[in-house]
Amino acid sequence: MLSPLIDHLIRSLRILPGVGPKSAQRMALYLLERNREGALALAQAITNAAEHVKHCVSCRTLTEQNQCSICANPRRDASLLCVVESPADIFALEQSASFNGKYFVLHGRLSPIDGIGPAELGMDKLLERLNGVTEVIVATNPTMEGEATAHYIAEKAKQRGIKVTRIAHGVPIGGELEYIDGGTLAHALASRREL
Amino acid sequence: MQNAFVLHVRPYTDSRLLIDFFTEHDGLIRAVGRTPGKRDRAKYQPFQPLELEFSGSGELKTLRSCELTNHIAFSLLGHSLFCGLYINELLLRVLQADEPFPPLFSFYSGAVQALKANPSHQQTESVLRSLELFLLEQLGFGVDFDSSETGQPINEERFYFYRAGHGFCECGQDSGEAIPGHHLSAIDRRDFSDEAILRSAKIITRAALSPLIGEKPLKSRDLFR
Repeated sequence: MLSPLIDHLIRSLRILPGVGPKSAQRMALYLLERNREGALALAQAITNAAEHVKHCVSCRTLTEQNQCSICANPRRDASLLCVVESPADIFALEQSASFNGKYFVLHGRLSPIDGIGPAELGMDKLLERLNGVTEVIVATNPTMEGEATAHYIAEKAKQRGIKVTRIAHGVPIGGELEYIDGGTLAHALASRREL
Repeated sequence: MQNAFVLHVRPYTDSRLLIDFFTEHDGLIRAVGRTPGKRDRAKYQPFQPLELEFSGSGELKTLRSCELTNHIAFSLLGHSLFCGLYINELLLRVLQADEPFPPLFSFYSGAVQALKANPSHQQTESVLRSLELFLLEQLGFGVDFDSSETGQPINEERFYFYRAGHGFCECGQDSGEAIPGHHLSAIDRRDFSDEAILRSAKIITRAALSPLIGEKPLKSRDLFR
């Protein structure tokens, strides 16, 4: 029988995605037996982040500052706005180092059956954010709900006379055509470019 | 194996999805399926014809197999996609699980193809109205376009308003939602060639569906605003 403190730790670790009872127990015992220092640092880091991280006032990504470092950077092009579903998408796009504009995070996608409509996603905030923007790049995921979200944003931005683009879907680098699904290939063909 | 469409998917556990299918022989079913790997991601997107097999007789089935019958890129785009999402939400709201509706399944399949083939406003609206009227018939709430609620035949020259559960009632031309009699016979023939007829049909189907939809409005209607 585990003591209440250890049991509490194991139960707390299980809130993490992909962590079942066995993994939680292994993590708890590792922290207690092998790495007390790391455990304290982890606890401190979690407390700090959970208390201080909030949403950036202009792009709504996660940050402890009022405005995130991307929004506050004067060298980034404020006329280009890339709309993404989650902060993780910003990390991915930033790693590509090929985008110098600013972002807007929807924190989800339009999914009427789940009760998520334009109001729940905060589309009015996005529309306010469009002032001074000349091109909106819609980088929602290539799912049916991501496409619906893209279409909704496109309609609203076009009404304001703003250019709207959608990121291309296609064949991954190093991929082989014969293993790629028909939907992606059809997209890749439809948006082919002249060489 | 039977034909099916995905109506909605949501995450269940880390490696499992909860999927609502509209199937040809079992109607609406809810099944648990494995989260697809990289190559099969497109499988559980709505509006694509599938063949599936499931087991279990309770409320929650287990998906045995599920394959796309033909790989097509996003079958619906833009305005048609909004219409498709509306249809899916409507079916999930009004159909009882595990009740077979084979004619409705083929009608749904035809509607998805029609939305894909021609995304014009006129076409998408006619598809939505035809599907709503067919759905009402299948559920036993069909609208009687031949006679008024008092049993009188509909007169093409007169005006009517519609009350769900009652039927058409004669009224003056100026009253709020007055529908001309000749619109009713056109809707009965599913002749939606005129925008005005489509508007009348929308008034009728909205009223007829509202007791089935319940108090909570359909969220997908927000997309059209």
